[in-house]
Amino acid sequence: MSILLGVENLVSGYGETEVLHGVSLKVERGTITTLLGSNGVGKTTTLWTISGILKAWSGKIKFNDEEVTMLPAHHRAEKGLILVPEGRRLWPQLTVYENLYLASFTRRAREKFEENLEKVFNLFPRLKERLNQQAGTLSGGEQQMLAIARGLVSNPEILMMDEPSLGLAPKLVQDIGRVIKRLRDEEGLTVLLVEQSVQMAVSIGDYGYVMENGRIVLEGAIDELMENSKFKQAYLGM
Amino acid sequence: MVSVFRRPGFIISTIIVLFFLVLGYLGNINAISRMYVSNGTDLMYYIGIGLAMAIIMSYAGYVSFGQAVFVGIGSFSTGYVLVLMNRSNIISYLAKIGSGGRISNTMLAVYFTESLLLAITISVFIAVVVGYAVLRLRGAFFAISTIGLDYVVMYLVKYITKTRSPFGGEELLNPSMGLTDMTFYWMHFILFIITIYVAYFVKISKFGYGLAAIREDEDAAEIMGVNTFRYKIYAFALSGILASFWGIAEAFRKSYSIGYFKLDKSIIMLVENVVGGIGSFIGPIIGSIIYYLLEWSFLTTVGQWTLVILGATVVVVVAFFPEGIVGLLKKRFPRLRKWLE
Amino acid sequence: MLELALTGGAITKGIIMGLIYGSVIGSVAIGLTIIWGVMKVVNLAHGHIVVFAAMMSAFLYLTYKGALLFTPPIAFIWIGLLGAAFGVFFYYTTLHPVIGHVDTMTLKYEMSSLMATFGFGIALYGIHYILPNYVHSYSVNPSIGYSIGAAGHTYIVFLGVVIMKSTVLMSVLGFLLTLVAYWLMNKTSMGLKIRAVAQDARALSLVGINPVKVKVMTAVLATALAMASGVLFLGYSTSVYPDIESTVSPLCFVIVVLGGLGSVLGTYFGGLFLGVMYWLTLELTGQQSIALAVAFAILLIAMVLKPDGVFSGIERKLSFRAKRG
Ligand SMILES: Nc1ncnc2c1ncn2[C@@H]1O[C@H](COP(=O)(O)OP(=O)(O)OP(=O)(O)O)[C@@H](O)[C@H]1O
Ligand SMILES: [Mg+2]
Repeated sequence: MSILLGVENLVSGYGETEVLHGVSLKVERGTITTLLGSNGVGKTTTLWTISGILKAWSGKIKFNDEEVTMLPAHHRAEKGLILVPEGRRLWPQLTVYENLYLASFTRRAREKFEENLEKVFNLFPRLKERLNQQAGTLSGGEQQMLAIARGLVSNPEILMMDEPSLGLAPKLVQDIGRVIKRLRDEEGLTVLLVEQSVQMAVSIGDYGYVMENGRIVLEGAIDELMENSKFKQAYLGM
Repeated sequence: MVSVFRRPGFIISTIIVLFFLVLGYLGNINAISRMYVSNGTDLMYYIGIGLAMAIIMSYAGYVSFGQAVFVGIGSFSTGYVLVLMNRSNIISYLAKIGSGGRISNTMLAVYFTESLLLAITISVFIAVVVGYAVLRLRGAFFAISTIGLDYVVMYLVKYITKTRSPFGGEELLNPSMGLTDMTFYWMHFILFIITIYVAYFVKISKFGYGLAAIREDEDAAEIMGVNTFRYKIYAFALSGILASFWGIAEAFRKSYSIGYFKLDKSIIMLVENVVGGIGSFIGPIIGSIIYYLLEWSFLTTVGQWTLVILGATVVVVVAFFPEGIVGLLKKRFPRLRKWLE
Repeated sequence: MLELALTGGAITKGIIMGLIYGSVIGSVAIGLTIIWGVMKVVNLAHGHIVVFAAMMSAFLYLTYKGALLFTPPIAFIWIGLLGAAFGVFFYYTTLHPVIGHVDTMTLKYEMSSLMATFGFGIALYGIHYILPNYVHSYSVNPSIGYSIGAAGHTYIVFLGVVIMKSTVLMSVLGFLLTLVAYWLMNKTSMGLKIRAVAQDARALSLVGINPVKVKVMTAVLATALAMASGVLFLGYSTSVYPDIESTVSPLCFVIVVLGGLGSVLGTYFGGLFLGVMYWLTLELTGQQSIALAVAFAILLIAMVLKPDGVFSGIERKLSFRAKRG
């Protein structure tokens, strides 16, 4: 198996405050890698930095054997490094269709737009019914679907998802988990998943990283993590 | 709590007032000192309108292009009292003036007071009636609506002067009353004392804190129990009254003209506040002094380039020093912080 | 006192002249509705840019008298293109430092943009006075260069109203300019990006679109439209001077508010409405100052009662979306 995304000693933060103090992680092609940790440890910051919205202060980000550390965010997206951000970040006054269409302007996404659209409607038939509705008027769950759909329409090489289940009902959380699993199994999509529902994350993940205070403190295949009693106690309450 | 009289803002205000007092007394010596008197009169006017604007803009955070309307109303009030009322007692002085006469101080005080009362009445009326409608708007919408306000009033007044002015045009020329530059200086000085202390006491009062809360976060202020709407109307009206004072002062000196209503006036007030720094009392004063010095030195050095340089200055300040000069000073010299209320 | 000339003829004339004027002034406001309504930049320099273009084209027209290139129907195209380049300059000097790295335009940034464009506007206004051969105002005799039809016949009579042919031409061009803007904003991907950038610029970079580029495009489009419409304004009014900005700019804001921020067609209809109101008042009272006071009173009322715009519905009804869904 080859490494699609490799992060080495990543340091970054906001303004003067350093939040990540040297994060290293690897994501293998075709797997679901999860990044876990309690609130405020720097998971979102890690994803923002990988996607290029935040500048890395030091360290390296390699994607597809190419160093992307200094590239601006939109160039990384063009290469297929796609983030479904925390809080969805849709364009609330544009319609569902416009939100999706905007994601298809990169070269890699344009070619496969129709195909990806079809795929997305398969996964989320609800969106198809609401194509002409303003995104801001969708329900929370529908907005989350749209955010994921937008990520998929971008034709990702890797899809980084930041808390896709935030604020959703337990049943919907399961659904989202199932969708992510399907994408890996059927499409061979690579996923880096940050999830507060650890249950869901471990049920679909292949490999896991645990963060504390801006550092990775534990990592391993999910099966191994599940045998670690400290991990189980801290994150699954078992 | 420190006594009000020992607070930095009060001390600075008093120093400025004393400065103008001394300038006034030294002024009447020779031709050169009289030039400084005229500069001092201008400077008081610029600080005055800057502080009038500060109440709505610096304190409450509302950008208004409409404060010129109040300057205009002030000057129109003076024009109305001196010209449109066609009073025989002014006209009868005209004869005397030819032989070096001057209207009595009592009469001057009467006209001055009448102008003040008229200006305050109209200003409050407009501020409350219009404010009641437009102060529901925020941000750019409020700003744009005040442009509308300015133009509505300006065009109506234009119509009134056009139909009623004895000169037939848009101007109302003051009858010559034999007044000297020194008289105008002291008239400005009276209004200056009122303006600067009112502006300062508003800033440190409960009302002022309410306005600051509105500036920082209007919704939060409302939740905290500030009656934001009423506060904004009071601020709008008070700002208008102070602005109208300076219309009066200038109209006694230079006669009424439609120019007082022009947006340029609001724009000067705005620039003074932005350059000095929004949110403070000292900021608009510093901004006004700088604006005056810049304009004065530009006019004498760069001539027609004035507007270009002025505009570029605003762009640079907004882009790179969004907190204005006060913000810059606070950052550079933290020890000065206390003095930059 | 005010005397009302309430005759049928006055009303007909008011409406016809108002529609012609409204079409021109409506198109002048389109650039503003895009940059303010869509990108939330309260562009106080808009009127200055319009007048700058008008002054420039008047100067060229008078200098090279008779040259077809400088007659308004031709000049409005290339001065519009020049406006695109000017838009880049405008963006990088004034807007970029303020909004270049802003994700979502909040009130605070709106107000900064207002102040910054205001500074740019004053500077641009000042340029008129430093030009070596500045004249206070230009008058362009419409009959020389761009009357249409038989030479010497610069007027037509329609329903008993005498209309200058050139003003009709300008209002038609204004309508075309509006259609072009409408098409760009609502039917092209550029328009879609422009509409997205003010709502969330960061999200654009997440889907691979450079948000700064989109902001530049918005400024370019708005400035190009402003400059093109400046030429039409000159063609309509036949004379221009820098201070006319103080009428043009507020009128544009009125129209944009009436039309609904960001709505191109709404803005155009707002222009027509305002034009008719203005001319009717002018015809009925004979007082220009009353007519302008009415125009701004409409602004105040519209803002308070219907801040979403009176005519914004027109665009929503006309624009169809996602036919390919
Ligand atoms: N814009 C910001 N400016 C300053 N500090 C920030 C900013 N965003 C986040 N932080 C700080 O950085 C730290 C890490 O935040 P981050 O959002 O990465 O946490 P997280 O692991 O995603 O938490 P959660 O599970 O709650 O989403 C926190 O202490 C937070 O307060
Ligand atoms: Mg997070």
